[in-house]
Amino acid sequence: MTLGAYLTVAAVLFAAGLTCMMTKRHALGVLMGVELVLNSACLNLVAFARYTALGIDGQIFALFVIVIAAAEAAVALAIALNYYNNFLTVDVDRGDELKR
Amino acid sequence: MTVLQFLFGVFATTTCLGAIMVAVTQNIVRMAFWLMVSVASASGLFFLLHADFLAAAQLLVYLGGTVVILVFGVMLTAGGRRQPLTPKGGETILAVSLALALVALLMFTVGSVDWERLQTASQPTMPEGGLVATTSDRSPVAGAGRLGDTGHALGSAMIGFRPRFDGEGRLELGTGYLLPFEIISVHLLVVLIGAAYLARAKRQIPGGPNVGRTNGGSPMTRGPLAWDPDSAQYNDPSAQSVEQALAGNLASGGGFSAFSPEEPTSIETRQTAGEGRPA
Repeated sequence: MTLGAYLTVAAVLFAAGLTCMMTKRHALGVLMGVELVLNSACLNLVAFARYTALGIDGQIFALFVIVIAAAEAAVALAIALNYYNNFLTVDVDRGDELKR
Repeated sequence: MTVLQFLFGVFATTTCLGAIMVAVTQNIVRMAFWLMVSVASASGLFFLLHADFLAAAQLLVYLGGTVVILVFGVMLTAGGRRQPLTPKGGETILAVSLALALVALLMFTVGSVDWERLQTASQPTMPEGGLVATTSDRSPVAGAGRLGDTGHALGSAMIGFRPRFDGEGRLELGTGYLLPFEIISVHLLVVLIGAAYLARAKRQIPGGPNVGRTNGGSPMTRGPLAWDPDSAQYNDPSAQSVEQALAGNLASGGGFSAFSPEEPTSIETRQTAGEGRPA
């Protein structure tokens, strides 16, 4: 397979994650969109590592991306729990106390 | 059509389908399931790209960790009244059109770049067939030239050794990734402590305004609350007055970080969100 095919898959992943982040009102749904976007970046890095002179460096950066994604999921879950304890909902549209 | 192309087709289809279903589905648990499908298929794509260690890490960390954490979060926040969290129509149209425009732009960019020239220019010693892992090719660490053995190269690069061939085939020692590795390990520790701190059980002032934080946890675990029509809020029947509670809390040396005066907005929020619970 060529590099372009992998980049196309990553582009679709990125767009789906972006749509998820923009449309979901569930806080954890937004988090899943972030995971998809990070996954698409990861796929791009590995594809470039395979097909260009990037070599093993691309895989190392992809590994860092995976670690960052896991850490971000843990912190975001804690934030979502706090949010739920304060607002009794996970609707991100309800968190508008600063606006009022 | 070779086996690799067939596998790529299968994994690429399931990856994209899972991602799109995550964006389309409204049920949060089904979203988590489709995210699992998408992530697992992406791991298959990593295997096809000869990144065996990374694919295994993806399976372990994402499927074994992140998605499970997400499902835990869904279960912990599922109590109380179930509200339909459907997106607004205008926002959906805007988001989908924006995403389609982005896909079109990215496809155009991918199609307009000559990737073949980039590959051949960067890899003058690319072996015939292109099936051998280039990462292992260029890494003279153990397992050089063998297919799909990136663990040694990744590990040695992580502890600071990254030997690689320069243009004339001589071996040179590049700088590795020891410092980023250490930084990310400290970062993980900070995240662990921070997440535990954020999600910890908070000290509760009885009768205080923040009834939603009783027991520091979900509303399902709190004690019975009585609806007070005069002040239009839920009250804990066994509660002291706020002054007594504050005095007791201060006397016991505890802090009260979450206390704030009564404000109509939070009362209204609690009132609407707390409907349907037994009074």
